Amino acid sequence: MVSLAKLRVMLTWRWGAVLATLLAVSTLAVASNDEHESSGGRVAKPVYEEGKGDKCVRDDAYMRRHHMEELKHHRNETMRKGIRTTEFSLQNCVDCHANKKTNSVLGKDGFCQSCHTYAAVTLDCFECHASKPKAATPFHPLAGKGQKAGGEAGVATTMHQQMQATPVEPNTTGGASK
Amino acid sequence: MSNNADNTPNDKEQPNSRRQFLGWGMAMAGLAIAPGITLFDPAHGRAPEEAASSKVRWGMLIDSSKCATGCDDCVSACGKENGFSGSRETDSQWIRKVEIKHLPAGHSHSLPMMCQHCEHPPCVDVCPTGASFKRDDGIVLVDRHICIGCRYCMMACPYKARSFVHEELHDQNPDVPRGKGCVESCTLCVHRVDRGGQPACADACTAAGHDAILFGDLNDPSSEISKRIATLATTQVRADLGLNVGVRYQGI
Amino acid sequence: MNIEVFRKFEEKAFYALVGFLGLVALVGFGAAHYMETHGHVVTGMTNQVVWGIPHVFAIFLIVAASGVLNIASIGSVFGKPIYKARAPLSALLAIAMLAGGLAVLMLDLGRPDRLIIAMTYLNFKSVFAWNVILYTGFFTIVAVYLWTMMERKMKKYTIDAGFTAFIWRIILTTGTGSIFGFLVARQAYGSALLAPMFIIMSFSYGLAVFIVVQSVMYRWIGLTLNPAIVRRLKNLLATFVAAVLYFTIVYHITNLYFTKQHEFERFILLDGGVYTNLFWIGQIMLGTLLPLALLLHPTKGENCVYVIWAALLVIIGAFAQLYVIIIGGQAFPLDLFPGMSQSSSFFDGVIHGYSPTLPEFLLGIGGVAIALLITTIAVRVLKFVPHDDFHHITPDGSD
Repeated sequence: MVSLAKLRVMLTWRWGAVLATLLAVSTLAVASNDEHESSGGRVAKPVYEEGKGDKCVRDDAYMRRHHMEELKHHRNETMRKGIRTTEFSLQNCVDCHANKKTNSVLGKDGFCQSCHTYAAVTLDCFECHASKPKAATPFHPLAGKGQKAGGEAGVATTMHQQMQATPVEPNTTGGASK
Repeated sequence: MSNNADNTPNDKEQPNSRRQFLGWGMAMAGLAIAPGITLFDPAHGRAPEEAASSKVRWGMLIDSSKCATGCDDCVSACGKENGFSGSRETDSQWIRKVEIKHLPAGHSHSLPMMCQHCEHPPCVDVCPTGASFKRDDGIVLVDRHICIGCRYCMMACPYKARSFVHEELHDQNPDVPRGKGCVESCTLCVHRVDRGGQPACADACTAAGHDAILFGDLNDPSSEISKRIATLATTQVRADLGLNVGVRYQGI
Repeated sequence: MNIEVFRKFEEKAFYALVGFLGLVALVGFGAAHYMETHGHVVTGMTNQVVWGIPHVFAIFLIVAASGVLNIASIGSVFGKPIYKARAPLSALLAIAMLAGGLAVLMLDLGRPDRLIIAMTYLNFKSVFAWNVILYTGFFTIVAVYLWTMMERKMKKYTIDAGFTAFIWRIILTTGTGSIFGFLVARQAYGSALLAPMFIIMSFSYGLAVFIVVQSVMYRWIGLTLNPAIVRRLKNLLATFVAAVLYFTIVYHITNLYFTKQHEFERFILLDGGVYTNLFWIGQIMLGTLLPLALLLHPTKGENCVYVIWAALLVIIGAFAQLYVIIIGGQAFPLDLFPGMSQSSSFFDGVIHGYSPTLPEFLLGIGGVAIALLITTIAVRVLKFVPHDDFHHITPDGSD
């Protein structure tokens, strides 16, 4: 086997050189990326559409930073204590922020989804929560054609006649495997 | 939510006959729903910002003698309200009709069985994260934000009330969020109860005229359910376990 | 062959083993990922039988993990020299098997992505929550125990560490048995007997695993085990197997005394199909009587090969026993209306069916592979092979 002293010498010079090269190459690669950022890049920018209401429950900057804390706090209030003020209910958020064309907060142009995809943060609220607003009129004349086209039929088909006018929406949450 | 079932047109024509029509319409509607109201306790609606309190304890009284074999109005209503159907081994069933027969060769009848909303729920005791919990007003729920899907509560429940969601779900009812990998059970339609309504099964049974399911506040001595429990012989299923459940039965 | 050739071959064999075990573990992870993305509908587990094959594997690994530490405890706490020599290997196996068992358990959760929640939100009325603390504490305590055994300067603390580890694992196995013992709902469970029964089961399973692993190690290196040591270990295994049989008999005889339990006992002992077969053939015959015959036989019992076979049979019997306890207990329907027959769309009143699917087996075997992988690598890197000091051992095995 090689002597310890020789080993030490080898490690300092040879591996040091390799490490330095690796660092240089990666820094260059990252630096060169910046030039493309402003012109589209690989990740689609978030779609920001005006919500249906007059304003959000809090201002934009606050919501961008703290909406998860708000959601977590209020979900416990609703879940554990049954406090159901509409101001902070998730249904209310979805009602206002659902995309006018797809009627959903998910999908490529979804309010929640597009931002979460851009920021690479898992969005798993809508595995359980409905991503579309509740239908306003339960006795809509188009009711009866409520079975969702495409997607999974079978066990979880809803009998709520709410999906009458909405196009098929891909059930994409923050990561396909979830 | 408004109780107006009649779709009265809105165009301006003859106001007086319109008003008369409205008046008669309301009277008829009132007559139609009057029988249901006697089974529904007033003083129900809680303000949205008010928390559930232990002053109230929600419960149900089920009269098995009014429950017909083969009728499953409550089961379909529950499925419709909460967004599930099917009876495969992996399908969720929050309420089911159980046909029982006294042995040997005795009287047989049926009754609906759902989460009994125990006062001392074993499912709450065994849940490692505290996702299974009892609300102050007695409704036992699963906090699906922290449920990890270990199914220990399903092992512990003496009434086999809980179901596990085995598949990805789509198009959930916005009032009833449910998803893959979590355990769920009858919520006593907490989303309706909090807004002053009653569970879908009770509504459906009443609407169909069977009147087998009575929902109300067990802590209120003047409520219909308390009065009946005080005067009639009622039983709890598996009473020997000492869980003091919120769902009682007559006629077993 | 000379030593150089042997070394090269042995090194290749080592990497081959590690590669194989790594592959099996990877397949296990793949199965877990498949279960997580498609939901448990791809398994045989249903709303009636909620815990299945992965849990059988996981509970075997966890129970055996706490039991295998016995060897070390007998060495440190009771001061027996041949056990002291085996203590590091036993502690390593304890850590490795617990890691494998917990991996299977956590990957089978409906929402494994919420593991952090399982560790931060704890409901202390739940045995599961206590188990989270007991299992993670076990890792730490046994690691410290190992350290006191392997580090020369720390050897004086071995007895204290060993004692702590001993008490901790008794509490841990009590917790594991109480998972079932605390369930009042089902006729198979809800008994104070289950906690001590699981402790005795852990003694038996743990020692059986230890014997098998130790023999494989010795054969790999080309050593043979001293017959005196073989004799001690096999007598101990026979004692534990007999003790498990005792608890099984008491459990069933008590149940048979309660008329209300007769239906359940009839199901397990007589007409439960797969459960009855696994109980009588798997647990009693293969897992208890046959190993006892082998171990207590005057000549065969002295032969190392038969002892290893007996240990393997005990392990097979262990899986059969756990299958009957865990799955048989769920297959028997809940009795909501005593004295009445029940039927419903939710499978009340009927025996619940369970057909395990491939992903479940792959996940369970993956857990075993993780345990063996940790053991293999650790044995290679550190000194885990028991070195017996034969001055302390007399030919007949007493010391």
